[in-house]
Amino acid sequence: MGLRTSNGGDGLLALLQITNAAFPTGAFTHSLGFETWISDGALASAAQAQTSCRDWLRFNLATCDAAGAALAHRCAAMDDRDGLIAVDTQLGALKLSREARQASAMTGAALAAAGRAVFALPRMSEVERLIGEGACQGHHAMVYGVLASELRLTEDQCVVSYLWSGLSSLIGVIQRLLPMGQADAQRIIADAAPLIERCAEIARTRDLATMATAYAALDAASMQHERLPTRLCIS
Amino acid sequence: MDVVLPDPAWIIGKHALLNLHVVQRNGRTEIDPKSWRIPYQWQGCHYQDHDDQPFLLTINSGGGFVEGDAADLYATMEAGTRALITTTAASKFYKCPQGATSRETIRLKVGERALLEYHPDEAILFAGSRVERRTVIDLEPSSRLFATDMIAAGRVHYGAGEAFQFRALRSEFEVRLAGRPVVLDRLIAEDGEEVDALQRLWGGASHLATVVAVGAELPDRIERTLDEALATCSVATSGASRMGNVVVCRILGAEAWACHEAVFRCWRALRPHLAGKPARPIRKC
Repeated sequence: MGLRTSNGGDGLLALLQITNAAFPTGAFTHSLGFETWISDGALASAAQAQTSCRDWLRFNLATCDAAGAALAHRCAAMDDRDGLIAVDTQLGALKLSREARQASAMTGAALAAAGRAVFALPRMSEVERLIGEGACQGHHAMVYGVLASELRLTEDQCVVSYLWSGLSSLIGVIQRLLPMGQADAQRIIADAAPLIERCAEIARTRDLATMATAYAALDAASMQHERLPTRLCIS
Repeated sequence: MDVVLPDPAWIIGKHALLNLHVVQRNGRTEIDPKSWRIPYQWQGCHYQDHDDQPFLLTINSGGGFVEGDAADLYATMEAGTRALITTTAASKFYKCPQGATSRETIRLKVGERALLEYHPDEAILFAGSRVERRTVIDLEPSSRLFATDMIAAGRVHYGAGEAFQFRALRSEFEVRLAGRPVVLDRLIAEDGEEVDALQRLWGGASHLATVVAVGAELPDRIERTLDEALATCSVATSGASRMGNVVVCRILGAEAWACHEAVFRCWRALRPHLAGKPARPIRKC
């Protein structure tokens, strides 16, 4: 079964499928360092979670990973293998903690495998081959950009959905760690819609030389997470 | 080695340039200045550990970066050399009322089996400053590195304090191994929203320090040792992480002295493995 028959070739259905929490990437096991803050009490309420998640969305995800997804989408459309490797290398180098780097590579590899298995896309097998050969680590944003391109999603759809699913996934993880109601969690996601639009614009205007991260306190939290005595999340 | 020549368009006194060649000679490492241009000054180096490793204190007699000033430092370290490069004082980036940007570029190439200890003072971003900083360190597979980078968000004790009042910052601290970036700490804050947000993104701290160490000799669990060394420092938060032979530490603090102390503790934990000798306070005067 190939792309033409998957979801009847309907791009919207494909998009809903790859951004669904049930799509097997393992993203729901990664707090990206937020579990450290919850564990030490620095993050204890839905309001604090909202502020921190919006900061992460705007100043880490938009300027780094979502920008990488947009660049990968363009590289895939132009069959630019070296470009994909460069994006992937940059994504890895910008993650300063082991767990952040591993989380990105683990979920990327899982997304590539799922993309190949579910949609039978030859390009996803190529990505897996690049990872297997050590040419790249297969960071999630790079793989997502390639998958979105192969599923004929536009660059804008790719970036907006990447941002939305990233936020949605992180809120889902935090909801399991904090006393926060389901409605509160969903409201944070819904309220972020205008910010996601702005973040998509920011992400699409970044290039390799301007991909950046700014959430230094989260870097430290992610490093501390490696040695948390009790934890539920991988990162 | 490649020597970078000054552009004739550079205004004398506004664009510092220093090209260094680090070689093995006379049974020790020596540093040759291949060229320099004011306000970088060359006053030689000295051997504070009383062994083969020179300590170089770079001297920028400009005293700071006035609007539009630039400084470029290039160094090529030959195989088997070891050197420590630091500054005489913090890099002060002054206000840029005309909208020009001040730039500092550091490009260091470390040869096979060579050791670089790059430990400059902090960059202080004055109110109204526009700053671009770029440090790139190129390593070979057998090179060793201890490198630090520190940003002060302003003169925190000036008047009522003026942290996070700079106009724009692009800061890059990159370490490459065999040509591939392995650590890229790139921060871009170019409008009011991005600069203001840093107060939250740095957890309320006004100083950000990053330590990077690279070496096959780093022992197992060195990141735990670093964490323990940092735990009792007077900083807001910190962390240490290891990825293969690369160790990265993040340190966020309210005071420069506390961050310096934390960085020194990292050096104390790492230096015996990288340089085979203990860390020591660096004499600067």
